[in-house]
Amino acid sequence: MSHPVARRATARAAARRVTLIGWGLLVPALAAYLGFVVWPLALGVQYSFYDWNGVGVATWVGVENYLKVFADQALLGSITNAFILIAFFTIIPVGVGLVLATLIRSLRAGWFSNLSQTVLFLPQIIPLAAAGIAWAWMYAQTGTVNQVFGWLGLGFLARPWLADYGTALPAVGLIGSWVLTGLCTVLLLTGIGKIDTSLYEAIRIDGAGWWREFFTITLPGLRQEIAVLVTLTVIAALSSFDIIYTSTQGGPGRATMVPGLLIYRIGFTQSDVGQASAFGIVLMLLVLAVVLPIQRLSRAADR
Amino acid sequence: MTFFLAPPAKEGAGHVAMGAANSFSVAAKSKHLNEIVYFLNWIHTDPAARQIIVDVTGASPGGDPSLPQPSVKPGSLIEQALEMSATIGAENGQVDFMANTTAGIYAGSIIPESQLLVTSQITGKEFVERVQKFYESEIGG
Repeated sequence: MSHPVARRATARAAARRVTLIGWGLLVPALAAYLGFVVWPLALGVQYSFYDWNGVGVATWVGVENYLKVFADQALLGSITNAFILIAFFTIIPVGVGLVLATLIRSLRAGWFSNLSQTVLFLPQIIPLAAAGIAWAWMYAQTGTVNQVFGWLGLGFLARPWLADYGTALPAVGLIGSWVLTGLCTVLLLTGIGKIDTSLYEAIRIDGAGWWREFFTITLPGLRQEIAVLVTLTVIAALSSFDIIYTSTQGGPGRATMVPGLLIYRIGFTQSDVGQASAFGIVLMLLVLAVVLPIQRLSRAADR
Repeated sequence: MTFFLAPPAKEGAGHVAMGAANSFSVAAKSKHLNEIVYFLNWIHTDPAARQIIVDVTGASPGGDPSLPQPSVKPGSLIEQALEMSATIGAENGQVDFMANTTAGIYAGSIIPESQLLVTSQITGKEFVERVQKFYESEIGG
């Protein structure tokens, strides 16, 4: 048997070794995070204070790029569009997801319930760029959407959906709804599965109807899932790029222009890396400003 | 139907039109250097070749203005086009395409403002002012 002091020293050494191994295991992930997230972010902040075309000499301009962000009508318009997209990327998918998840839950487990979950989730595995192209065809003057309206006797509603100033933004927004509804439904369904079934039995014994059950048991039980989904989808709305890029390119006029596409254009077409970086930083802060309160709300509600 | 050149901004000034110059180059180490040069010379100077260009493309064959012009149907649009082309050549009024003015002007201004113009959301005057403003901001910025 060894001396107690020596044993304590050995234990300390072992603990130190474990800590070292722990840090060692962290290194790859940490290196990737620093190299691909923190470092580019720091560079982006640096670029945003310069007038730089990406190749030549960069000149320090202070906050001028940031002032331009808030003075430019096109930039502000694109931010407004991004906020309108939240309705289609967040409110519709989460709302429809809630309804569908509740309905699927009430279905008997079987092939129909499985099939509906699979079909709803399918859009999630399609690349957004491909979804944008496919939907652009369907929205065209002679596309599927107008054909279906024709069959239903609603031919008078037919229009080139992506070329009409009034319908272009809702039309691209609905592509996002289509993609995200599956994700929301599946996640909410998992959340419903976690809710204690005795709560449902209790409220049914108390004679509550569907609405009462939904608002008293289902909705509060899904608080965390809803918070996660709202966070994810709001970020998807504010930083949307691929759907818009492949379907409308921001047109007609600037009716569907979004910050993501504009940043790409300013940076890589107009070669104004400084301005693009400044707009990117503003967009990041904007996303944080919207998302952090959502996080706080969900956490406060947990207490 | 009549085609005409866009009138100059000031009366009596020269006409201006957009177009791209046809420039050709031959690789120095090309195996058939002489044949290529002969062909390029032929297609720009030979009356038969120039006639083919006009018949097929409906565009001016370019080249030395003193060369005989290919024959076209009198009163046809192509006849007018060739006359206008000759005017632009004589007044030295050809400029490069507006879309090539700056790196971002095409996607950033000409396309969206054209869409607004053809759907009557803005006037021609507004179109010109907006594109000009974008051009200046891109040059300055």
